[in-house]
Amino acid sequence: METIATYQQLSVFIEGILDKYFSGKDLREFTGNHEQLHRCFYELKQQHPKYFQRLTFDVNSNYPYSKDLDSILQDFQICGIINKLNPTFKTIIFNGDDDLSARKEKRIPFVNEDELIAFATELTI
Amino acid sequence: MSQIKAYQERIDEFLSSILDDAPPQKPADAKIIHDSVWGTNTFHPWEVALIDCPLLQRLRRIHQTGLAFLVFPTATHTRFEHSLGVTTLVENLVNHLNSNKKNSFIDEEERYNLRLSALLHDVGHSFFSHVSEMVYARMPVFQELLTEISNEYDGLRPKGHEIFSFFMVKSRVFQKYFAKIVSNCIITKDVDSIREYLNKDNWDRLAGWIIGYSKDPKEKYLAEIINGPFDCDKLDYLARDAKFAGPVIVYDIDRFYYTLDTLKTGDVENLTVTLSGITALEQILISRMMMFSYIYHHHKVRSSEAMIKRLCFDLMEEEMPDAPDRIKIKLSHPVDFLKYTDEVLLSSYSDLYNIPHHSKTIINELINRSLWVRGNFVSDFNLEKGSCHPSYTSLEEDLHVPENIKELKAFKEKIISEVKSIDRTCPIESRDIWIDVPKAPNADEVSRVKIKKSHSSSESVPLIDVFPIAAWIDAYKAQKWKSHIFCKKGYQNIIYEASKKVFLDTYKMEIQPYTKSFCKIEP
Repeated sequence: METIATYQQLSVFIEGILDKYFSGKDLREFTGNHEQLHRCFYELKQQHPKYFQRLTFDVNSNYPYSKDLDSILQDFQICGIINKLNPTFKTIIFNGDDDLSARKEKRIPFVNEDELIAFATELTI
Repeated sequence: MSQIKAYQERIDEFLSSILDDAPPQKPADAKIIHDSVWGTNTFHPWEVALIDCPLLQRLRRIHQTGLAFLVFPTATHTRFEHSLGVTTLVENLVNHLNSNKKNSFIDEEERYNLRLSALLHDVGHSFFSHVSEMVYARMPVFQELLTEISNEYDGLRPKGHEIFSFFMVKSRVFQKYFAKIVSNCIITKDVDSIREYLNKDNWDRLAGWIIGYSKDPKEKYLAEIINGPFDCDKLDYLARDAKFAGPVIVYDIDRFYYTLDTLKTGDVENLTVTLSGITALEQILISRMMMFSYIYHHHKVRSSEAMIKRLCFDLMEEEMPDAPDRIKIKLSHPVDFLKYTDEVLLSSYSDLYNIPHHSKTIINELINRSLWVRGNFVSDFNLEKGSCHPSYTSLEEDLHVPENIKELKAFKEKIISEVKSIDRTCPIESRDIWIDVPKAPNADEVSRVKIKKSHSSSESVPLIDVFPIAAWIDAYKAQKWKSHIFCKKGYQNIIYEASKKVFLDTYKMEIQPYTKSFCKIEP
C-alpha cells in the first residue's frame, strides 16, 4: 500500500477529510480550540496509524501537539480554505477550494473517497 | 546502521577533529564577563574553560541573524554572545523561580546542569545559522534522521542545529573533554559535585533539554527553560537581535520573572506564568512577531539568504575535479556543514577555492552587497481575487522528495521559458532566480501553554483564552506575509512580466498591477 509520505500529500489528505466532514452540511464551522483540535486528529491517528504516519505529534507535554497540523492549517488560511471568525477567533469556517479533487488526484490517488468519508465520520471537531 | 548512530559517529569525528589538538585550558577561577544586553555576569571555572574551547569559540564566527547584517549594518552579533546571554538568563530565571516558589525548587546541581545546557544549546549551528540549516534539512539523509528522532523522542521534530547540539552533548568525545576540564579545576565543593553528577545519564538529560525533551514528565519545566514556549533562548535573541539590528522592541522581563511558576497537569509539570504576567508574555510574543516583520522576513534579508542557499545547492550538486593547492568546500552530508563558519563562505580569497565559477560570482556579489532583487511577490493583498493556491504555498515543502524538486524546477523553467518568449536574447537562467515561500510565524507550542491563576492556586486557563495570539498571527499573515521571486539585478522587469503570466496560468493567481511599484520596478 502506498502511504502518505510528504507534507503536500498530508495537506491534501487533511483537506479531503474536512471536505467530506462538511459535505452536505449547512453549517461549515469547526472548533478553534487548539487542544480539542489536536486531540481529535491525534485520536484519529491512534485509530489509523498507517494512514497518519506522516502527521507527527509531540506527546512530551500537557497534550498531543502536531507542528504539521498547525502548519497545514496556517497554509489553509493563507489560501482562504479556512478563515477564523472575528472577534474571538474561536470558530473556524471551512470554505474549501474548487481545485481539491484535481490536487487529490495528483497527490493521493491511492486514497479513495470512501476512506476519506470513513475518517470524516470518526472526526469530532 | 540507524541514522541516529551514524550521525553520532560523524559528530564524534567532527568533535575529535576540533578538540583533539586543543587540550582544555586550566581554569584558574570564575570569570566576570560583560555583556551589552544583560550586564555583568559571573561564569564558573569549568564554564570558562568550556567557553575557551574551539567548540564554543567557533560560534564567534557564526552570525546570530545570518546575513541580516547586510541590511542592518550593526546586526553583527554572533551565536557566541547569544550563548553567554542565554546562560545568564537561565541563572536569573532559576533565581526568580526559586524565590517565587519560596524554596530551593531548583537545587544547585540542577542549576549547573541548566547553565551547561544553555551554554551548549547552539553549538550545533553551522554557517549563517538557520540559513544553512534550511539547506541540509532538504537532504533525504537528514529527513531519515528526523523521522528516527521523532519516533524515539515522543514525536518531537527539532531543528537541525538542535539535533546537532544534542548529539554533541551526548558525544563521548565531548564528555571526556569536559571531564578533563573538571579534573583541571581547583577542587572546591562545586567542582566536586560537578564531577560526581555528570555521568552519562545526566548528560543525556542535558542533551534532551536542548531538543525540548524530558524523559521524566515531572521535569518538563527544566527542558522548557532551555527549549520551550518562552525559553531563555527566545528571551535572549529577541532582546539581542533588536538591540543590535536597531528596531525598538521592549518587553517587561522583570514582571515576567516575578510571575514565573510551574503547573502540574496530570504527570506533566510545565513552566508557566501567573495571570498577572500575561501582559509581559504578550509583549514577548508580539515582539517575536514584530521581529519577523522587521528583520527575519525583510525582503533584502530573504534575498541574501536565497543567494547563500543557491550557493550551497551549487556546491552540493557539482563535484569539482581535484585541483592542487585549491581549497575545497564539500557539502555532501549535513554534518559537513559544521566544518564551515561564515568567514569561509564570504571569503575574499574565494578565488583560491576549487568551486564553480558561478559560485564564486555569488560570493563576490554577497561580499560587495550586490544582492538579488524582487522580480515579483505574492501576498494576501496583491492578488486580484481569491488567495494563494495551496500547491503554491507548499511549493518549498519536502524538497528531499524528487517529485517536489521536479515541481519547483518546472515552475522556474516555465518562468524562464516565458522570459525567452518575451526576449530570446535574455541571458538569465533558471539558477539566477529563486522562489522564496517562507513560513509565517505560528503560534506553535505557545498555543498549548496554560496560565496559572496565581502562585497559590492550582487552577489554570489556556493562554489562547486570555490572549488571542492566533488573531495576531492571522493579521500578520494577511498584511505581512509575502512570497518573493528574487532574481539577479537588471532582470526584474522581464521576470515580473514572465512570472505574472506563469502565476496566472499555473496557479490561477492574478497579480495586481501595483505589485510592480512595490517591487520598485521601473514602468
